Amino acid sequence: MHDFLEFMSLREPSVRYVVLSCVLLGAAASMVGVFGFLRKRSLVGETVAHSMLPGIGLAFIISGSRDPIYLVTGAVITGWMSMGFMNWLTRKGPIKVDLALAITLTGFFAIGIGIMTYIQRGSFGDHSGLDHYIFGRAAAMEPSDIRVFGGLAAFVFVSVLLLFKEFMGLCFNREFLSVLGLPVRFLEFAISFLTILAISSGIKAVGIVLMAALMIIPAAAARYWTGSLRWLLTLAISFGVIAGVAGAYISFQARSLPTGPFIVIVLALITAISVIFAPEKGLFSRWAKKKRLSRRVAAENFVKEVYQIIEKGKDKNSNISKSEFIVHFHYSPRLFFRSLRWAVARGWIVPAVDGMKLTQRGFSKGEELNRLHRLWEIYLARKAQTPLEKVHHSAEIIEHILTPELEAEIRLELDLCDNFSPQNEIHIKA
Amino acid sequence: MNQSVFSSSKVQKKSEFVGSLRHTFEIMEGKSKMSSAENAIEIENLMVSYHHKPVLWDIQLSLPAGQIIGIIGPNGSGKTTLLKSIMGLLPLDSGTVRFFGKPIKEVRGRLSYVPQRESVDWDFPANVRDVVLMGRYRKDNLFKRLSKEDHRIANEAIEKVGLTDLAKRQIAQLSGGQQQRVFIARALAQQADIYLMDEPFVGVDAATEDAILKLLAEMRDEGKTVIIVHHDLQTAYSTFDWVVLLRTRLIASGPKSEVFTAKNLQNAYGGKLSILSRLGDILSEEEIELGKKEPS
Repeated sequence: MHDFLEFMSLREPSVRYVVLSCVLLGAAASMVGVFGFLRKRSLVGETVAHSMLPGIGLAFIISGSRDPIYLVTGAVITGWMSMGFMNWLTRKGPIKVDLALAITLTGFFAIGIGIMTYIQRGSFGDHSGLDHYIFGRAAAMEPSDIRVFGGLAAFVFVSVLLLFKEFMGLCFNREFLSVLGLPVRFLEFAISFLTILAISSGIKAVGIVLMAALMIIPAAAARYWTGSLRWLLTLAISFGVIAGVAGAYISFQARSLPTGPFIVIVLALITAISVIFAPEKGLFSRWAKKKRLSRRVAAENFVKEVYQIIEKGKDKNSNISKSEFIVHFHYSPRLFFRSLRWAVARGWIVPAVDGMKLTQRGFSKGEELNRLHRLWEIYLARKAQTPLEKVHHSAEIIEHILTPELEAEIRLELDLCDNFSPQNEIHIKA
Repeated sequence: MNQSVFSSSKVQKKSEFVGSLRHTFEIMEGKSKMSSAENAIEIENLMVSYHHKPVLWDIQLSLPAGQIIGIIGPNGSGKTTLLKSIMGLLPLDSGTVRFFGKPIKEVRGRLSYVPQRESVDWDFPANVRDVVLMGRYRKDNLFKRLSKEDHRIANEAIEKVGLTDLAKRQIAQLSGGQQQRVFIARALAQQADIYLMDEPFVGVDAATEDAILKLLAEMRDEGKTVIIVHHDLQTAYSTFDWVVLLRTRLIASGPKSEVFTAKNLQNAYGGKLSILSRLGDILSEEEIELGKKEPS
């Protein structure tokens, strides 16, 4: 803990700059990642990142130096070539996008590995540290690295902010922008180019193999939490920054550990939390919603059945005992008590000494459910030509979800008068 | 001037040039003073193919301004293709399209497009206002924020289609009819002169249909031209003033009472496989490109 606080205080200048550049590249990558995600092109980033390896190797061979300026230039060039190659593959002929991605990724990466091996075997001077570019080593960043990579990330960040509304339009409806006379091709070029720059900003800190994770995962996790693009960007950037800082931290703590994998683990954790706990779209809230529905349905069924016993000739206020209920409806004791509890909680039933009683609200609820049930049966039989033996089963479900508006519409369509009451209609037996 | 089917693109440019020259002469002679003033769109020799298969064949068409115009035809007759090629969204094999006598480059801001509702992903994270504001995007506000005036115009458009209460609603949560209204509001926000709509009545509720029809009538009364791709022959007569009947080639174009004849409808919807579509199969198989020189 003390180490972490010491790290976060950013007292040490070397730590300060590495953290700053990780924050910047995390933000830039997750930002362009959102647009890739929205254009359903998440895997393009993965391919481009892998395709940077041959560029790094070649740049080192040609320049004979490990200056990040040269290496990044090489990376951007082969990254750009890979994008062009993918487009060329898919434009004409039978190759689909997934295949083009796979061919490009493996092809460029294989060439890259070949070049790297060649460098290690040959005599090209000091090639130590080149392998950092594969899995990433944030702590190994030197001031010159930080200037180049941080600068790239900052450039991407500002550019995306400036073109935010156009990128939104482009992702949503390209043709509309084109009719407006906006330079769609330039915008597409810009989005691709910024993607490549964002990836290249992380090749040393995160490594080319896992850099794409920093683009793809924050956007995907953020989508669980929000339906607004501004929030999506904000959240994705926050996730990217958290992961970037976490990567920098582990890199300083355990200097032999590569940064990339640790960043991916942090991102995976964020994603897991999102998948499980996000409101509405998360697993937990969907499970809870389902649970609530099934409880409501059970309570409603219970009330409806009590109502039916009364309807058969009992007084509204009479007590119904448990045994009387069970004679009519075959409930297990467990289901009986649970349904009773949920109906009581909703104020539809009050327990009495020798059984239970319907409240006024419970009575009208039971009446409503019965009415909706029969209304739906009639609707199916008359309008949908459903065989009579099938209508009951469907109505058992529909009675719980018909809204007043829908009920009014069904009445209108069936030409039923307003004072339609199910008692006047013959109940269609299952 | 008779333009060959297999003219090269150079020849095409030349003919465009000759055409505009001729146009200039005509103006000088005072001949075409009416045609360019009255007609919103003039299409000449339009030919478009998809994977070498002709979708539009030698379309020659003038559409009057200030009317509600329907483009009608059976499935696969090239209605949407015609709309898209008018707007320059598809490469033309040959032909020219002019708006109020001008090429598209000069009238960009005056054209507005309502695409098919299914053509976009409505799960996109944006709200109603975000989408309507897209109608205010311009080349000269690239890199900039939209102005207060832009927001005011967008709000007005939202109000016109009756979505003010839903302005902040995510578009994914709208009904089909509401989504269609968002698209129409976006087009209104553009404040254009020519509106091109692709099947705006598909999958919408009765209330939305009425609202759209009312808006269309209002727009016509303001002198706007509305061109609508429509597949439903039943409702076409009551909806449009002017009708274009299409089936790869142009069957008829004119005031609806003149176009809706038994013979025209038979030509458009009649059963037999036309010679054109059979020819299209051959062209596609041999990979012959229309509008290019004959393969030597």
